[in-house]
Amino acid sequence: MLRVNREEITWEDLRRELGKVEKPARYTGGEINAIRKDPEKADVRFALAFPDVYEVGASHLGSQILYYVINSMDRVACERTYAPWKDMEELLRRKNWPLYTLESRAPLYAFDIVGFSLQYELTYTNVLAMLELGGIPLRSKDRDESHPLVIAGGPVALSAEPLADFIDAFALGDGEEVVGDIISVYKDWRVSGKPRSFLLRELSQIPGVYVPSLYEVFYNPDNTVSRISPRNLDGFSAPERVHRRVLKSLESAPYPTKPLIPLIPPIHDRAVVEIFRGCTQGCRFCQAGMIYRPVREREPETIEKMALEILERSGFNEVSLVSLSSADYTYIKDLVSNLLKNPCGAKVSLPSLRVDSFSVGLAEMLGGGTKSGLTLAPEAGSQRMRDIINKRVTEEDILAAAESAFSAGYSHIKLYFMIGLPGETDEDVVAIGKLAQEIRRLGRNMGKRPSIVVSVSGFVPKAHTPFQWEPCLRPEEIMRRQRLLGSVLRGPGLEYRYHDVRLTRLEAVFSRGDRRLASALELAFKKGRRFDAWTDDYKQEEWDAVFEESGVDVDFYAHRERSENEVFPWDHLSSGVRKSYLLRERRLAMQEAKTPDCRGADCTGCGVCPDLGVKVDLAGRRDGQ
Amino acid sequence: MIVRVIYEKGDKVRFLGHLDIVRVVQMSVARAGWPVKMSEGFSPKPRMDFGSPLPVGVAGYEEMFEVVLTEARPLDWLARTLSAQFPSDFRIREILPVPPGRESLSESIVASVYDLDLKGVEASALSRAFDAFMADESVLLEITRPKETRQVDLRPFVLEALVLPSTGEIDRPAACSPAHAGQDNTRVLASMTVRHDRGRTIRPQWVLSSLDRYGLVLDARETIIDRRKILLEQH
Repeated sequence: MLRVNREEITWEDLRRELGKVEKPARYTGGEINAIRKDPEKADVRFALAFPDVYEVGASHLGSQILYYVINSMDRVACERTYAPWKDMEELLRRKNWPLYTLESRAPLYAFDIVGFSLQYELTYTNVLAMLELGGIPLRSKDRDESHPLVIAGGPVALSAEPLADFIDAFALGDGEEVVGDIISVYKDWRVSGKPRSFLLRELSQIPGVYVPSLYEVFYNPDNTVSRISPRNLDGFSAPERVHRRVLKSLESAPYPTKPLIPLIPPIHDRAVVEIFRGCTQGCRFCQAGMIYRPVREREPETIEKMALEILERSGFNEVSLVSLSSADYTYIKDLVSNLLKNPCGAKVSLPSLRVDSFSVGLAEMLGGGTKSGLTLAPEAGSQRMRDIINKRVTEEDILAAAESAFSAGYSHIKLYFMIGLPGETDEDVVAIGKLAQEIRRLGRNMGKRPSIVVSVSGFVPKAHTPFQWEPCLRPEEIMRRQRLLGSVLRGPGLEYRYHDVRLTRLEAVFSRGDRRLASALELAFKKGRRFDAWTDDYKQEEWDAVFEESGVDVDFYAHRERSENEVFPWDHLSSGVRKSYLLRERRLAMQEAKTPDCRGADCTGCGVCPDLGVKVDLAGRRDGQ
Repeated sequence: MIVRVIYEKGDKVRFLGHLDIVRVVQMSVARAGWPVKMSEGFSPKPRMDFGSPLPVGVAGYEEMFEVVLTEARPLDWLARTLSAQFPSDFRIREILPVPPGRESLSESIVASVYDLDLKGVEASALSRAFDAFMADESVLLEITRPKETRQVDLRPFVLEALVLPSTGEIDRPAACSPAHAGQDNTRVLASMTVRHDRGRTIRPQWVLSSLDRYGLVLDARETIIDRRKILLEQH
């Protein structure tokens, strides 16, 4: 265990050594709008830990919101730390320095609560590395009253069973809703002087908090889960199911308008306003579209006010209106045209546009000087596949979108697709190529010199989605389909990019894994696996050896079709969307039948609103409905 | 109106690279509400000249940039508004009006004076190595960058390289004087003056790395380097 005999690493220590690592400013803090509270005056010290590199974590919106929300609490100080890159980890180990937070350079083990943000399964090995480097015992059972409480939240928390042995408590759902309750239970517990086990029990009583050690998992002889039950502890037991916490209204939710601005450019180097949360387009592969329901919009006036405030206080020259499908926002056109008149002269951008001419019209409004490129995500090439995944756009929509894009002056179009979706045939794969060719032809007929980038990822079935029963294709089969697509994507003006199948497989193992994967994870961490999502550093042999040594059957987790009555390792964790609804959606997918968006149309019966006591909350329609 | 801002890139922000500095300064100036003139063309940029870049790891106590404003503002207003927006460890030293029609900032820089704070070397050994370096006619060093490797003759760029008395009594702002200098007998303070030739110059680290050929092996990355002063051409 790494321990130093002082509370902080001094600047004098650091400044002679940091010159040896890549981008040392990742580790020095001092960001604009960073909040530095006096640790002496805090009853609770909270460390937000982001298990990816600084540039990814520093601009992450959810973490920024939590940083602001927690620091707004009286006598609570929240600081930040990020996964050290390999060279920095090596430096920390060589000098016997613990992983520290950027605000006060205090070691992680000195905090009361360490909270991880889980955005992606391939950051799990980084979570373990950060715990060890932070001087915290890896496994929950090895921690005592002197150690921090280790919690984790984010979308992945709803299916993070592979981390069950390492995390004391998971926060499910909207973090700004639940974090205050966790801190207040922690405070009461510490005053009480009771043992740590008592804290864990108390936490499990908070709606939305899942304490994995209070549950026992039973398995069938075929290795599938038979049952997950709360343990009986002298008459105490945690709830049978933990339901996700949901913010009822985004309009009234706290939001930082003095965002933290890193001194080195983060991956999203712009002002950000979340215009709504949740998406009910209903794409059947999409986890975010299921686990963030219902749609909750901010009022346009609020968004404009926030955007201007952030621009003025940041000096950014671009504001991004983010959500899972920004063109769906009720007043998107008015909002964009009003914001374009901002006195700062900042650009406005929209991520995640739909594939239709309305969205392209929006993109055209945004202009922004350089018509560099436009990204569209048809997700599948054939109409049959798009019906299966409930991507409710037609070929006409796609071509109309492309036509609008070309006539608006765009010549670079990037198209996102997936291969390996349920029910996909070779014909459907080839259809991706045909669609791209068709778009290129369209551009040429309009007198342009189009350049089309086709970016294809392998489909990974995710928990809490209608496709959670589906197998992920084997790497060999994905590669065969990649090659098949490659053979029809030849020609000038067409560029073909595809994802690494090895990462697809690894993600498939961990995104629907159970807690028996803990030993594989720990072994991978001990063998030095870090930053698994970073392809250039991916070591297939190392992971193969890990699965081999820890007896993990990759086929069982990744490539097996699961039966309709199988109990899943995450069945005791509820996103609010009922399993029966997911199953119905899966059957509709097989029939190639579509399900409408409940935003405008009738309720489709997913269960979120009645079960979680929330409702669709659209801008301008709050009074009288 | 064109103004020159003389500022400190302080100790704690020494690990920012030049492009990071440009971004941070541009955003600070935007927050301060300065009426910055934008360039013409496809993607307009603020019209600013950052003189001579400092590498990652090096602090600077008389750094400068020039900015073109669309309308005149009182210098004290400029100083006050920008001071309020600079991140911590950036400090304004002075803001001066620049007469029109003068050559660009980067072209008018003739030399930089650096302070070096070395650890794990003997003052006498360093002094001998410096003397040998200065006595040489040419000192070629291979500089490896991500995209190219090139050879630079360091010698003509170095105007002076001196070991300072171990008392730490050197003329520099209090903010950059090392906390424990003088207490540690393997710690040596030195000074180096490096020439700029129409925008071209060299890094003091390179000089330190080249000293192995005079029998002094050290890890240049462990040396704390500050640019104390930038010397401009006198008109």
